[in-house]
Amino acid sequence: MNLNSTVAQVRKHSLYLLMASAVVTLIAIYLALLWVPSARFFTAPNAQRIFYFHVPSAWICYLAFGILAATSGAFLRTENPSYDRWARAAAEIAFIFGTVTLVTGTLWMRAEWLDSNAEIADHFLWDTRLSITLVMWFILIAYFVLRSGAPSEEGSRLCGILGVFGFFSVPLSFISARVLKSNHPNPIASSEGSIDGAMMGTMFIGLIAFTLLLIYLLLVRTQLFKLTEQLEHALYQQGEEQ
Amino acid sequence: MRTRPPLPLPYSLTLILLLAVLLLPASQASGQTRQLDLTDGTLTVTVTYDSVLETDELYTMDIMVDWNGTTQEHVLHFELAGKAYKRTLKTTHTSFAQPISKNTFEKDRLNSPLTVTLKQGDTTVATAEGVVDINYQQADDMIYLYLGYTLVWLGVFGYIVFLHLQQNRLEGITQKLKVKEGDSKPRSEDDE
Repeated sequence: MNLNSTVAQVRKHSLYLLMASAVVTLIAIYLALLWVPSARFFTAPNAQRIFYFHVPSAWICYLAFGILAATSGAFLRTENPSYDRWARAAAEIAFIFGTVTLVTGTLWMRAEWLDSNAEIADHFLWDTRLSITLVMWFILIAYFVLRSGAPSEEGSRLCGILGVFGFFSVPLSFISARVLKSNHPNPIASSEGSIDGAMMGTMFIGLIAFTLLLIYLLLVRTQLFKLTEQLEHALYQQGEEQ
Repeated sequence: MRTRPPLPLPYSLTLILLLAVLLLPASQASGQTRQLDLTDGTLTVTVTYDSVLETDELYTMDIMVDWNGTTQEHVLHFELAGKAYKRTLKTTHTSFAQPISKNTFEKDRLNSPLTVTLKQGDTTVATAEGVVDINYQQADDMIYLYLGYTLVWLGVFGYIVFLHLQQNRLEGITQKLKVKEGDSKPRSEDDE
């Protein structure tokens, strides 16, 4: 594989996937803001529309963390740098969608359930769902700190270990609202948390849009990591020749 | 004959008039409780409602039913500015509230007709009409929606833009290097 073909691959991956995800995202925005009716029995029915992108963001964050754990495990086993690139790309995407999930959830919580900003701190400290999700987000920050601090080869191995063991936070965060004590609304994938069909459909369109985005971002980011490595290699070779 | 120039208004009076003019559009109609009565001779339904509906507040109409010995089921139909509601009256119902959700109406509608119809089966036994001023208020939770959506798209598109900038930068370096086919290798041969 040479530089020119890597550049061509990046371009090919980006165009069609970006177009597809843009179309589905626009449909999802239209449905979420204009089509789906206002939720009843909510004190903040407008802020409730955050739900249509808050839940898909959380799912994509979990999925990206899952890819991070799987590719980290594969890297530790085979030492194939391709898996390391996938893990790094997945970590960045999990971080972006994790941040979106935490902040949109906090905004929705503030509008719907809380009367003051001070109460948000209380909820973050004492609510298991929020605390565990925050821990998951801190693990991702630790991943980047480790990656930037340690030398390349060693950093990849240490990050691989963190990627595998950090994954425990994902099922914990997922089941916390079901099993542990939490003020988080009932999960929709449970018998208690059933929602209207139009709302569920809109949320799933958002999920499809974000899944396409995840694939696009993963492919492009992985190829860019590869291109960076190839360039470093080429520059090193040029330096040696001179 | 010389006419005297008009005396200037005292400053305080001018200020009061100016404030009154400025605040006039901001004033709101204050709600008044109104009542509609419907009867079929024995059963009497009293609907109490507010003459002003604020769209950012939960609006309810209070209904009192005096059965006067009758046990026949009736149906109460409401229609407000084109939105219809229906409640079946059973003998257990003596007083209840008919809510109208927030955000049902999305603009001001003054003098909107409120029609309440009492039916027994398909037969209309009584009708009463009132008027409600629908006062549209920007919901106070919109700011959270704007903030939430702005953050989602800033996060996602910000990352896409970052990737494209990096892609352009790396492609620029590749062009400068003018690396020929096969010049460079990834970190490992078994990479792909």
